[in-house]
Amino acid sequence: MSNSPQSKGSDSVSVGRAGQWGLVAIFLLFLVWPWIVESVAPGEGNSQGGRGSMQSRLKQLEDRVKRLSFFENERPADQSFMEEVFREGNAKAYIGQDDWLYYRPELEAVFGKGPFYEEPSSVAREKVAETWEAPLDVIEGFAKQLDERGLELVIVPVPTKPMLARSGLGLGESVDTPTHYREALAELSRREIQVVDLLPVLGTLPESSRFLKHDTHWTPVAMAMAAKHVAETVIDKMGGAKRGDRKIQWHAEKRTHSGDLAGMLDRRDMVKEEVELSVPQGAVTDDSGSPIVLLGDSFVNIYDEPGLGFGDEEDEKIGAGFAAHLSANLAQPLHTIAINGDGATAVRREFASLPDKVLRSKEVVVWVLSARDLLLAELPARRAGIRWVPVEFRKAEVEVGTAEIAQLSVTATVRELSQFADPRETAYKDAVYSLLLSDLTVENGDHGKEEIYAFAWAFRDRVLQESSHLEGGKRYKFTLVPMKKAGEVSNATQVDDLFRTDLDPWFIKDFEPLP
Amino acid sequence: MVFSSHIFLFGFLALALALYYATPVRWKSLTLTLVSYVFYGWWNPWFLPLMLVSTVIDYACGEVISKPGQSKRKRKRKLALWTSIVSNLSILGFFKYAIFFAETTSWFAAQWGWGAVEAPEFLSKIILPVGISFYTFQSMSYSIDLYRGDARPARNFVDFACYVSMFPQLVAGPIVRYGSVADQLRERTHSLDGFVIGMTRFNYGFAKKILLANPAGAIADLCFEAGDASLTGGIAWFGVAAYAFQIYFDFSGYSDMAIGLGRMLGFKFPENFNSPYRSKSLTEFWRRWHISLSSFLRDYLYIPLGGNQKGAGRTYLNLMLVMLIGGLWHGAQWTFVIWGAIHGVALAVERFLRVRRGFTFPQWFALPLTFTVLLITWVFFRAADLDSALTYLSAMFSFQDSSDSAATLAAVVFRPYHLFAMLIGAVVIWAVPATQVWLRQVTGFKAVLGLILLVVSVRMMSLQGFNPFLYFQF
Repeated sequence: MSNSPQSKGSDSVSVGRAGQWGLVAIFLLFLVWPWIVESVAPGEGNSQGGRGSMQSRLKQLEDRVKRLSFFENERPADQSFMEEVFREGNAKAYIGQDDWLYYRPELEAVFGKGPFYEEPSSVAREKVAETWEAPLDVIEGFAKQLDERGLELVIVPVPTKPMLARSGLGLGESVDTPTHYREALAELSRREIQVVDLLPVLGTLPESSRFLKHDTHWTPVAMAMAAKHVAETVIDKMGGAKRGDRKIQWHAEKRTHSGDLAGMLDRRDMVKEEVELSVPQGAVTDDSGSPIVLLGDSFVNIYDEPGLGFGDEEDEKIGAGFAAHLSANLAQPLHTIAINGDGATAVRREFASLPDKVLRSKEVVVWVLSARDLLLAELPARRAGIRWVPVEFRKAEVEVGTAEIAQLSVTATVRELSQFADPRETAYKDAVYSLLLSDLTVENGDHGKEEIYAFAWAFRDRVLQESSHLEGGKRYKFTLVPMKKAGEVSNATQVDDLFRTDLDPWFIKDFEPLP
Repeated sequence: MVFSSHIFLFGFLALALALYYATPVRWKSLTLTLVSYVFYGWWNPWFLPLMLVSTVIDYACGEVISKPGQSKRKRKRKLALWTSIVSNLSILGFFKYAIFFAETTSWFAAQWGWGAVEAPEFLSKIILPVGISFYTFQSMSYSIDLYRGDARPARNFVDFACYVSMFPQLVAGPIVRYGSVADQLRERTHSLDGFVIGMTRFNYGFAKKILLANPAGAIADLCFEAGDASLTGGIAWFGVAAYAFQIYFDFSGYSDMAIGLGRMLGFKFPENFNSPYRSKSLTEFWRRWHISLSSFLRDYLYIPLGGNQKGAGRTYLNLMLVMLIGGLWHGAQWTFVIWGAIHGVALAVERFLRVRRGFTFPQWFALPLTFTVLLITWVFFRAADLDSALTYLSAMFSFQDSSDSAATLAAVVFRPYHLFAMLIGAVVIWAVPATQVWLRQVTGFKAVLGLILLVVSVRMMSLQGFNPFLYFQF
């Protein structure tokens, strides 16, 4: 029996044998060509070699093949072709009119199903191991945790670029208030959480002053306006407490930047945008004794952290970011925790890991995060790497205190490690990832625990670091420093699937594999 | 590993072909089986024992069924047949339908006030093995074909394992029945002609997937993931048309690649598509769409149920039942059941009008009408759940004013590139011969064009995000 009358094709080839051999040879040569190119001109080997389970190793192998230099070398030219002929961006960046660029997840946040939509469970759909926590529930839970410790929360969702910069979409200079944005803010208010709605505030600016053209972030003008508005809310929140008495002096500085969205398109040739920064001298943003805590993501770090594009690599801080402006408007110092790309969870986790007595000395937590994190429904949020995970606060009696210890040398086995994304597909360019070390033999220093919760570089400037190849189950000799003392990682995105708030985090400064 | 991936094309395929052609003829089936197990195990090595168990059971049942004998023997043969059917359907039922039936039971229990009937926790952790719906059906067809005397038993276990696991069609068909490849498993021809034909077919299928299905899929995803406030009638129709294009190019492209790969390995697989959107009725559509499934359901379900031999009423009932089961085969969700039910009812109505009333729609009207009905049914097929499907349908037929968010969505959806991709898709669907017809005679031009399309597609693939085949989830 055959399936269908058409099953036996009566097809034929009208090409001579030499021609046929030629066609087959071209086909087979094409299949091996990337490997020939790789052997002649090897690529950067930008893959996480040999980590994790067999499945993750296979995935890494897939990534390695995808990143062979043959494909990598051709990609910019192909991308340029798509841009020039079709004005088409890529999976991350959308090209609008007059070279306005948009981050695709931010567009989805505007016209998507919103945070109230529940994905149906089904074996036939995208299956994911982690359960999805609804953002508003996580925020409410966090507000309650703060309330139990006598702290108040002020949440500041930063409207997305497509809500405020619409002429690049051919939609004029109007402001879009998506229904689910209104509903989400109303729901937060209903749950007695103080929300600052920046949309009407920023909407008063001329459109070109709201967002950068080639970047996901706000302009310095919009940021300064938002900081002023938030400062007024915080002052109200603190029972009308007076502003501090710090003397602030302002000076202007011009800087240029090619834009993170241009970077996602591999378009380094795009005209750089110039901005004028107002740098408030006298603002303090890293005072851990301040009663005001600022949690945030790259909307806080932009114009402050040089790695986000407006500074030179050798600059320590630019000092013109949201935190500096907020501090200046409040005329008092702030305790700032801002992590690029993970304003939803990692900042809360880091905040929750502070010693209990430090936490209880705080009064207000201002939490600035992209509205995108709040508005995306589950599937697009997962695709954009957004996680909403409740965090546990450190118990009062658990005070590990690594601050006094300068350095620790141990031999240990890597028991668990977080999985980080391909550096060429992330919105951030620097990342550290967490590991859990066990079977410890302390060689130098003092450590009373059976486990160590540590971070190591995954990638810097989108290039994988040696420590990204640490393997689960293997034994190494590590040199560790307390995370708080590892200044160079403070602005890197923390990829952390382990969430060990009961342990103080360390940073792996150096390591060597043991036989 | 999917066909439209770098690892398949530039890793697995090159190695598999090299190994296969370096192996002496008598070991080729074993080599093909081993590389197919590697191919399948790539997704998740834990899926391999499951496929092996299914293979062993059906081979053993086949051994019993194929031994001729008298009445006692007949009972054993029947028992072996039912063992094969029940074991395959049990595997499929457990992995694909257990959670669906448990959740449905919970829902009905809650609706009818029977109290809480919670689905066991472990059911929610079941991962659907890739391609299980395809290989269980294939494996089962072996026992049935042997029982009916439609095929000779496999020469040995390796031949049978090769049949079940053959990587070109393992995870998304075409559903190759044992009878149609039994002879090829014993003896097949490996020729340069066959390789060129297969290679060219593969290249065209690859291009269909990357150049036509993926851009259409990007449009469909935007529209089906849009919120209620953003969907207008125009966007909704455009989105479902994009989905119709996506699923056709995706699945028929996959089938082209499978058939092409089979041909490169010396096999001739059945055709699976024949320009389905040129159908002038749903009855015709099912003769042109996923032909290997519709003929499987026809031969193993519709005809055993009595087909059209037991009166008009029973014929309509059989049609509806078969389509309902066909819908459920696609996925354990009510949306698929409704999709199947609509097709079943439509087939019954068409048959009633044609046979009992002698009525058919005029030719000029029949094609657009059929395509429009198909678009409406695709909404159920694509939507994440019933609520989403109904919301989407209501958007298709609403004339609400466009909101700001809708304007944003429209700006992103109606881009020149999207319009161009849809236009090309429409031309390929309605104005260009079906791939197998176009490639009936492979000329130098067609073969070179195929190679060019392959190179262009690979370069495009490097720009696109990961995009697996739609039918893998079934």
